[in-house]
Amino acid sequence: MKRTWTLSRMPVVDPHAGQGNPLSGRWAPALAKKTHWLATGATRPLSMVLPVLVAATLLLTPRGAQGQILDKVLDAGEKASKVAGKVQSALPIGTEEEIDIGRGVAATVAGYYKLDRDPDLTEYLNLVGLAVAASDARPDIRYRFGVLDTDQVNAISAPGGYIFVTRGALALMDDEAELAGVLAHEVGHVNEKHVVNEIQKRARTELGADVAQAALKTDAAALDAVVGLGTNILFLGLSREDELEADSLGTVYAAQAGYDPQGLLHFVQKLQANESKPFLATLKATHPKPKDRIKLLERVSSKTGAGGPPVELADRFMSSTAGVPR
Amino acid sequence: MRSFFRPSTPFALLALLIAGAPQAAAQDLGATLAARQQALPKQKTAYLETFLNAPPGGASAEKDLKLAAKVAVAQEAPRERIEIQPVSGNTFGETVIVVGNGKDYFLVTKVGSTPLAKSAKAQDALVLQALGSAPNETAKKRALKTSDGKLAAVIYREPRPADFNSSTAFSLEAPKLGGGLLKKGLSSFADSDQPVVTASAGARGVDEIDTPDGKMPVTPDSSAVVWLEEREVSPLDLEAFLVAGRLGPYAGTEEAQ
Repeated sequence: MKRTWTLSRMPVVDPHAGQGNPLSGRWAPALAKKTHWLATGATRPLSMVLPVLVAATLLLTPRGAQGQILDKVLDAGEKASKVAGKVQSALPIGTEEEIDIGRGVAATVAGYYKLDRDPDLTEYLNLVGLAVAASDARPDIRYRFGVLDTDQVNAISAPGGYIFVTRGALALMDDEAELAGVLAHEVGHVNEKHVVNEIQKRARTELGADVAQAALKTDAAALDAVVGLGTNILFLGLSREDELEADSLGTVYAAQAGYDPQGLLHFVQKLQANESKPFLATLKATHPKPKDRIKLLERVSSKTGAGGPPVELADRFMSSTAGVPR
Repeated sequence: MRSFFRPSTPFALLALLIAGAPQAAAQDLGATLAARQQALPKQKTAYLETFLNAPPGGASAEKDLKLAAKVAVAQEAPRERIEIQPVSGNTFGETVIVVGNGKDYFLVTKVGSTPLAKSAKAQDALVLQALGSAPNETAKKRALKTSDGKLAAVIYREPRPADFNSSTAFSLEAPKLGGGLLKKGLSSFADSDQPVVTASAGARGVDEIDTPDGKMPVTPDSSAVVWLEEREVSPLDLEAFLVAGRLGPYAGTEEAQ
């Protein structure tokens, strides 16, 4: 039976809610600039990758050393931009190619773990996912969210906006703010094209010049090879830097949507508490250590207000995920 | 909660409109536009408004209002750009773009621009409501009342970073993909302007993957991807979801009565 979210539902906020900017504090400007801009025909500048890297770096750095670090990060960023430009020219991946790759990767992910085809649960996941994606939605793709039927705790984002969370991860969560944080982390990977960038970096060395220069829209074999590379990147894990950047972005996206900015932090704290459990084996192998993530998330979330009292929506989360065994 | 019903100002156009007098409201278009010009901020400013409107005659509570439109505004006196995306059925309709260049306001369409006052949109209730929402308002939420004290509309306003390109934003030509400002916030569920997703050989996936435990065989499931793609969330369902959780534009606010 299709559920409807009626306007008559009771609000779940404190009546003394504040009306401040959802982003506040010392690091807000850099993160806000990074995560929230209006595009009037302008393309997403490559340099916009830098602010969050800078913010994340600064958040982990004693204040006295921040000036030097800032200079180094900017220098490194400029060099990285130039290198990325050369790599991209070797394997151009536009939006259509990205979506094609994403569909292939998503089909592989859904084959490896079975897709849970519960329409109500999937609708709920999409509503939460779209709520957090809206704060910095890419205009060229559609975000789609699905549940994977496995006890393993994990979340995966394929290029082009195909995002998955496992039943195991849902079972570990206690409220909607945690789910929002996890989905927002994945949205961060998609928005920054982490997998696409990694494919472009590795295409020539791992697939050869022919594939790297193939037109993916017309060369099915080359596209297959790139899908395979993209899938392997996902299953073997992105870089530590990409993961921490997604953590920062996820916290900000969730807060901008109105959720408790500590939702992702609370989830990662549970990962730490369950570190030795077998259902965390995959996640452990593909993500930075929880203690490192927690250190960053504590800082970012403490500087990122939600514009009102923290919205966690535990009751709505529990009723919407009632079919998930806990 | 303060009311925005101030008949002495040109922005009273909105109150007239909601009170059911669109003709009278239309006659005040010139005054409203002139007042907008006066109120435009000199520095770059951008915001997104959500209109929840009451049925004719007003409503007793916010829960009886319905999402009517999303309005994105970019301003830098004397210029501004207003994009109105009205609700049409169970989704959003075509975006109406109005650009003011400091001398006049224009309706911008895919085929060109025309003075707003000479276009049929000058009589459009939502266009008038958008124009009647004062540029210099700072409240995150405003409740508009009818003359007999009922709720006529609630307008939520979210500031947006004003890092838009002025030459593009205030152009009298439609952006190539349409939408412009609104695309950032609404693209996830917009029906138009999306690239055509074409299934290809790659969409079937691969049959072996590398994992931390070594190579693993896989049977790709393309039908799962198709199933996911068929699970579209309607913009109105999403809006109701946000309202119910007091998220998005409604974060940090309480329901108006």
